[in-house]
Amino acid sequence: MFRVAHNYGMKLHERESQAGAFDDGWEERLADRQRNPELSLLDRERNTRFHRAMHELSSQQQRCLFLRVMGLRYPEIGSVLGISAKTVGEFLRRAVTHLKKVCND
Amino acid sequence: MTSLFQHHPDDECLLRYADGELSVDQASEVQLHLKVCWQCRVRLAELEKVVEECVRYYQTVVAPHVPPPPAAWMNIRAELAALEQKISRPSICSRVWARLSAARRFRKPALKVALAATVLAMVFYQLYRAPSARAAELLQRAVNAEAKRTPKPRRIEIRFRGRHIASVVEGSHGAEDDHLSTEDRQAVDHLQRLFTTVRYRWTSPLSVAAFSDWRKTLSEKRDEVSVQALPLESGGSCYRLRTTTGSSSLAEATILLRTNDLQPIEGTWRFRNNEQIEASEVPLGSTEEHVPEGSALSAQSASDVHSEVEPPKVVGPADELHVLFALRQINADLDETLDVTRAAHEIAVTGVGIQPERQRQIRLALGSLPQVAVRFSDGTPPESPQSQKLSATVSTTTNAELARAWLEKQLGSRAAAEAFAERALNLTDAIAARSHALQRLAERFPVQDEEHLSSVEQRILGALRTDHATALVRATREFRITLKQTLKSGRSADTALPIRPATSWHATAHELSLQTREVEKLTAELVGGTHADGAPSMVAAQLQARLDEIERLATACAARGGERAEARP
Repeated sequence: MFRVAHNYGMKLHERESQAGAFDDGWEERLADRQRNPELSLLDRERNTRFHRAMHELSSQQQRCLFLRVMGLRYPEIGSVLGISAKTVGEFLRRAVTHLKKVCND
Repeated sequence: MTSLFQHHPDDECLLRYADGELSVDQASEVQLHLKVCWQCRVRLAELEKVVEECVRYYQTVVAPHVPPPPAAWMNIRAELAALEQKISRPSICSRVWARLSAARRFRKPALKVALAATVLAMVFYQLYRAPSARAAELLQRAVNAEAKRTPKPRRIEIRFRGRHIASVVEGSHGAEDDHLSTEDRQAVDHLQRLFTTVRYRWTSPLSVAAFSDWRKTLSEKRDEVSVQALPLESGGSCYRLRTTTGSSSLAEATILLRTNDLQPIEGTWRFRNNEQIEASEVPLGSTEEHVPEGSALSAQSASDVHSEVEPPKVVGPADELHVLFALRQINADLDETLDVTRAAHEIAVTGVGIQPERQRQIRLALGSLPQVAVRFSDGTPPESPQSQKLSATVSTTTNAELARAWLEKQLGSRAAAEAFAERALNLTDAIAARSHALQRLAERFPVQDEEHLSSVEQRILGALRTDHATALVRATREFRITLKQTLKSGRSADTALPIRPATSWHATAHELSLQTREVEKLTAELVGGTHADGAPSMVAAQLQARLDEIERLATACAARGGERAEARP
C-alpha cells in the first residue's frame, strides 16, 4: 500500500508542478529584458506557443522530458517510472517531435 | 554512393545519439554519417535547439514550483549509479569467453548440447522463417516478371456468395461492366468497398503487384509456399503462396502462380467476417468483342497500375471522431500509451508497450475504418525489483504519518485504513482517466470544429461525451460514499465551493480537469502519500467538496450531451 501511495504521489508531484507552471508570472520569467520591444514581442509569442505545446504533451511524456532535463539517463527514467528504457526513448522522441514543430515555426 | 549517404538516421536515433544512449558501434556510425551529411547535421541542430528550449523552460517555469526533495532522495544518484552498475551487461567478448570456459568444464556434453541447439535452431528457421523469405523472393520475381510481360487483356471470373460474376475484365468495373445484372453490380460494388478497406488494390485483384503491396502493409504475417500440380487439361504446376495475418480484416490471401512464367492464375481471399472471394483467369474467347477498347487496365503496363489508384482523400475531424468512437467501444481511449494523431491523409494510432492481445483487439476495432494506420512499438515494462527498492527509500513526513494515524482512528483498524487508501487511489485514477478523456475530447473538437460535423457525427461526439461524463459521475459518487466513512463528524461549512456556471461543455471539461487535479492532490494527502498542509479532517472535508463539484459538473456535462442530441433531428 505504501508503494502504491508513493508511486501515486510521484505522479501527483509531476502534475502539481505542471499545474503550478501555469501561473501568471511564467511569461515574465521567460521574457528577455535586454531585447528591444519588437524582439521581446516575438519572443513572447514563441514562448506562449512553446508553453502551449508543452501543455499538449501527455503526462508520461512530460515526466520523461523533465526527468531527462534533470539529468537522468533513459534506464534511470525507466526505473523511476516503471517502464523500459526503450519506452522512455519513444516518449522522448514523441515529445521532442511535437516541440520541434513549435521551435521551427 | 556509399551507404553512409543512403541511410539517414531517424529522429529517435539522432536523439539517442545526442543523449549518449547508443552503443559505441551505433554512435560511431551516426557520427561518421553526420560528418558527411549536411541534412542530418541540421536535423541534429534542430533537436539540440528543442533540448535547449526544454532546459530553459524547465529552469524558468517548472523548477521554481518544484519543492526540495526529502532527505532520503538525496541518495538517489548513488542508488541509480549502483543500479546501472548492476544492470549493465558485460561485453560480448567476456560473455563468449565465460560460455567457453563453462563449456570446457563439461567438455563433451556441452558440445553435444550446443550442436543439438544449433540443429534445432536451423530446423526452426526452415520451418518458420524460411517460408517468409521464400515468399518474399518468389513475389519479387513474379512482380519483375509481371512488369516485363507484354500487356494483354485478361478476363477474370469472380466467385462470391455462390454467385459467379464472369466476364469482368480485370481492373475495370465501370462502363464496360454494363452487361452485369443489378445484383452482380451490387456484389461488385460491395467487393470493391471490402478490398479498398483493407488496402488491397481492387482495380487488379488478380495481380502479383496487388498481392505484394497488400502483404507489405501487414505488420504481422505468416507465409506458406508450396508447389502443386495444375489440372490435367492445363498441365504443368504452380506455386501456391498463402499469407495469413492477424493485423488486417483480410485474414488470409492465397495466390496461385504458374511455375513457368509466374503468371497469377487464381486467387482466394478470406475476410475476418468469413466472407470468401475466389477469382480465376478465364480464357478470352467469344466474349472478347464485349471488351471496350482501352478499358482493360491489364492492357496497360504494370508500372501504370499505381497511377490508376485514386489518391487518398484528406481526413478530417469526422474521421478522427470515428476512430475515437471505435476505441471507446473497447475502452482503449483511456490508455495513456495510445496516441491518436491526424495527418493530412491518415489517422495514425500509435501505441507503446501494449500487450499483443490488446494490440489485436485494437487492430480489430479499427480494421474496418479507412485511412487509419495502426502502429505499435515494443515497450514492455521491465521487471525491476530495483524500482521497488528505490521507492522504499522515500520517507514520509510527520503530517503524512498523522494522516495515516487519523485514518486508522476513523476507520477502526490499520487494515481498514489500508483498504480505504487503496480504494480511494483506484477511484481517483478512474476519475482522472475520465476527466482527462473529456478534456482531450474538448481540445480535439473545439466549438468551431464541432459545428462542422454532420448531425450523425455530432451525435457520436455527444455519445462519447455522455459516456465519459456518466462514468465520471458514477466514480465520483462511489468515492463520496467511501469517503463518508471517514467524515463521521460531518463536513465543515466553509469547505463548500462557489458554483461557477460553465458556458459550454468545453469549458466544463476544462473546469473538471482542474478540479480533478485538486482531488488527486487531496487524496494523496489524505492517504498519507504526500505532505499535507492542513489537518486530516480538513483535507477530507476539502476532498468531499471537490468531489461534490466534480459530480455537479459531470452531471451538467452528461445532461448537455443529452440535450444536444435530443435537439437534433
